[in-house]
Amino acid sequence: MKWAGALFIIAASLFIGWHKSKSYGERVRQIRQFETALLMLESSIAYGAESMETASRSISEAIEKPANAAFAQFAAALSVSEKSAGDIWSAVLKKQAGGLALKKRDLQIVEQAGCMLGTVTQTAEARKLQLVLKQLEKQREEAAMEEKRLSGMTRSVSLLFGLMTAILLL
Amino acid sequence: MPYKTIIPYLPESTLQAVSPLLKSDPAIEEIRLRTGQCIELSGPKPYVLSTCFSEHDRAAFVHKITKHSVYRLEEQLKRGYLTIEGGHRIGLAGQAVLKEGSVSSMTNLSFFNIRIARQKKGAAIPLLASLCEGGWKSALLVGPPRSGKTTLLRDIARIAGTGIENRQIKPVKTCIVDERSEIAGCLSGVPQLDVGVRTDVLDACPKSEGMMMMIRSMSPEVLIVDEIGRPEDAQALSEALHAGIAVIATVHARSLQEALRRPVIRQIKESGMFDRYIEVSREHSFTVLKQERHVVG
Repeated sequence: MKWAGALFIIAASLFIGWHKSKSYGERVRQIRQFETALLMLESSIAYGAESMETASRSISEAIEKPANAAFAQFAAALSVSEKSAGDIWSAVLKKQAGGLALKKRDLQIVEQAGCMLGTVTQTAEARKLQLVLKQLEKQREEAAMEEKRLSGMTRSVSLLFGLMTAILLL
Repeated sequence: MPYKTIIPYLPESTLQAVSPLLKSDPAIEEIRLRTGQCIELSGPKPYVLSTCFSEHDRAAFVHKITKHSVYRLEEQLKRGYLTIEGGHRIGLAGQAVLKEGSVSSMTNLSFFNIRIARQKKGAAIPLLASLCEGGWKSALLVGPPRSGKTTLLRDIARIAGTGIENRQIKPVKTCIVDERSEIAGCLSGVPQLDVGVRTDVLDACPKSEGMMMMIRSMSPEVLIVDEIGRPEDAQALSEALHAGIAVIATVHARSLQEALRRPVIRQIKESGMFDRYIEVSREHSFTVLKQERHVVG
């Protein structure tokens, strides 16, 4: 029975460590998703052929989970809301934040993309989105370094913590 | 209900205020929204509502008419109006943005004039006797704003493009150069109003350039243009008439005499380009002035 408990503790620690280390990789993946989405939005705006709603809907269909949900909700809200696109984007991100692996700073940058969105000229939109994309690129590089540095370590520490706890309790 | 397609664009409070009147008075022609001022509806019977068009309403209305996509409307903002589903035109005023001395865009949009597009099928029938006498004649419709020139022009295009069997009017190839998207009310290139089955529309194109493009590419028998008056329009008209095309155009003026004070119109008249001059009054009555065409130069 004691051995079963010890094994359970070690397995639980390993799972927590694995989950934590995965979140580092997930953050990089999600930042990349938002980068792709904003690049798509930038090109839609540059060609000026699609409305914000249509462009957001196309993006939600083209990118993967979980960033796609943000764009799907954004497109749906644009068609009915009397609020500005920026306010809608902020509200959608706040709603989605719980399900994203992004840090507060990452979310702030993604939220900045909504500032003045749909209210300025093509040139101004492109300039602003380029700025956001540059900031996101920096965040992604930092997240990738963090993943490299901490991912393996987290798994080892969690294993050691599980072993130590099991030994102490035996 | 021609205003049905306007409803989704109106902010909730504005819609609640104007909706009963739009239903009860089908003759309303314009909805005028001025930020911070009472909503006004104009037509034969004008209305000033007690409801104010607030700053919040203004923002909501701008978001709705631009579909949160101002970047798509740079050209329309520069021209000062945009066309929505149903062919309704929204005139815009706010703060002009200048680039090298000319208007490049408009910002802080605060004043709006929604002109309700109404198709009056059959409006041009009383004119057919003089317009379609052994083939279509070139004609210039002269009238003040809101006298129904564009409505007449649209109906002429519809009749020319579709024909009327019981009057032995056969459908002919008709082209519309719709610089202000008012005749056909095109949305994404597709006419929202009935302008005839054999009718081609060149939307949002400058008239003189558009006329030449249509002559070269679409071989029209009847060419419809709205509000001529620039020197290059006279040149394009001359080209069209030399090509054997019947041109039906409009010009803003209370009478032909008033229109002739404009050098371009005087030159057009002196050149004898049009077979008919039709004065349209605010009361929607017509006076047809015939003239034998003698194309010069």
